[in-house]
Amino acid sequence: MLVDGFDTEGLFGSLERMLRIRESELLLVFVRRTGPRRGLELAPRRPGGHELPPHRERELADAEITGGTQALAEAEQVASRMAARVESRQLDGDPGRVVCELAKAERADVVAVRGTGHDRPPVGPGSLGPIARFIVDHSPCPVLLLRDGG
Amino acid sequence: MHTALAALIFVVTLIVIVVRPRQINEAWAAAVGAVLMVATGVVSPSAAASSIGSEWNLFLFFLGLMLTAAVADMAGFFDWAAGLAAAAARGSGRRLLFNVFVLGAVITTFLSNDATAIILTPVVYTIATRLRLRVMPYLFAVSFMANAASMTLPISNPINVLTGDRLHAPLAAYEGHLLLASLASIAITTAVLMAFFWRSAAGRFEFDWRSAVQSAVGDRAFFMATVAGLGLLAVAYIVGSALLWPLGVVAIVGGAALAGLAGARRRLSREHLSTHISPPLFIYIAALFVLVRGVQDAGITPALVADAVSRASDAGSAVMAGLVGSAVASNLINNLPAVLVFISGADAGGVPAALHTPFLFGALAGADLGPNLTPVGALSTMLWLVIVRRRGVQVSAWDFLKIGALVAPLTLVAAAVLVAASFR
Repeated sequence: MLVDGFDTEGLFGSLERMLRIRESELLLVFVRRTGPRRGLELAPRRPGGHELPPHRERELADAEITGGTQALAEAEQVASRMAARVESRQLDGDPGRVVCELAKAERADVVAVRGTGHDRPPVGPGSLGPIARFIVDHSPCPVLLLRDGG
Repeated sequence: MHTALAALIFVVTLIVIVVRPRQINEAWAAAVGAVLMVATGVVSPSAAASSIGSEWNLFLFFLGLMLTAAVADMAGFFDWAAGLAAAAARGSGRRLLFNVFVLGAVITTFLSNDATAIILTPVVYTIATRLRLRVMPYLFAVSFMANAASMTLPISNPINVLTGDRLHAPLAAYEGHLLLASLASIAITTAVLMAFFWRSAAGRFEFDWRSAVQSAVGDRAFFMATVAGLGLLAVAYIVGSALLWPLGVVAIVGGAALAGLAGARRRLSREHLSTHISPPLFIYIAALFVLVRGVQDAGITPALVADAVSRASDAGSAVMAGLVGSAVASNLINNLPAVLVFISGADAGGVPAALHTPFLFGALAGADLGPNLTPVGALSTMLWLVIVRRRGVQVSAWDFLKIGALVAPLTLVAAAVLVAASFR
């Protein structure tokens, strides 16, 4: 299950309605994406060279880890009420690729992911976010797409 | 022969600066270009020295700005300000986004767009990440506001200082021509980005203001003294602008005083100073002056500018010519060399005397707001897009294009109309 830190209760509520997870083992995954960090390069770069100061790098890394840890802790709290066994992992990289590789390595039965992308219509063409679409295309096992309010 | 050589050296140097093959530092690329200008006789050594020496105000301004930003960063001012924005948002991601716009505008106005883009951006990124909000809206907010608010005061953008040295306009005249345009630019940028990110920013968060302040402000007395110092410096900038003092002197005196304060509190950190004070930037700027002197002496910049202003018959059309020309040029090359070309051309007689002032005000506005116009082809951004696409990050790159294509033309049109109207 790919955890993104948003509307955790709603997401797991949808999962519980779709699958019998009472006797299942859930592996919760939070992936720290490299994309938003690259967005820092949107800031006009001062000609002559100016990398991020070391103390800012440390703060950024700490914030990313803290954010992921909190998202997973919240997800674990909700999931542990529903599933028999819950394990969580925080990883780095492209979320779609990481989840597919992990699903293959762990021989997962199902990959569950939020289907709706950010800034996308709730239904219809274009509603599927790029991460969910990648997982649908590349997952080694069945994929469960969870929609908000579904 | 000299003309062709000057043009060749200038163009090739600019291409290397923008494209940055093998990640070459822009400063060294510019320095090689400048040395070539002198070595080939396009610019005499005395002319090169004079073109650098005459811009002492800008160098002092940059140094003072860097010292001020370094001390403010050391004191935790930017972290405190971002924390204040988060606390005032009362848990609403949308309110936080609006507050980030306000914060970006205030920091840009009084500490320059450099401080906003380079220091505030990672601070806002960190706070959005820590609060588990989607970071892109806040990143875009800071990045776009750094340019949108950079016309508000003469010190809001080093380009204003450079142009101001030619305009000799006291603060009242400066604001008379640019304040409304600046406020319009800030309002348009805020409105467009709030609408664009309305859904993305719809998160809630919990924020502990007390512990955020405690972690941001290590030495409370140093922090309070720094804030007081920043306030005094802001007043000095305004008074100095009104009385036409060289702002570089104000900046260096203020920056040095703040650095002295940090030293007295034993808070002066080599790490902070070395990351905020960038010697290559001074080399880059000095080299640009020599490069532009070369194309100026070869008659290229006056001809270019004369061509740009050829259809201008009055102040309003001169403003348009300056604004459009410098906005386009700023997106093809960095806005500093772009505005230097325009200033050089205007000073060398490329613009009729009656149109000189409106033309330069237009060029200033275009150079300040133009860098948000990314779809026109800022090569560095195009290269960033290529890299980002290879990593499968499509959405944010396209969003950036969509936002820039919407925000920049709207702000440029508003600025053109308002600045032109100010000359009636």
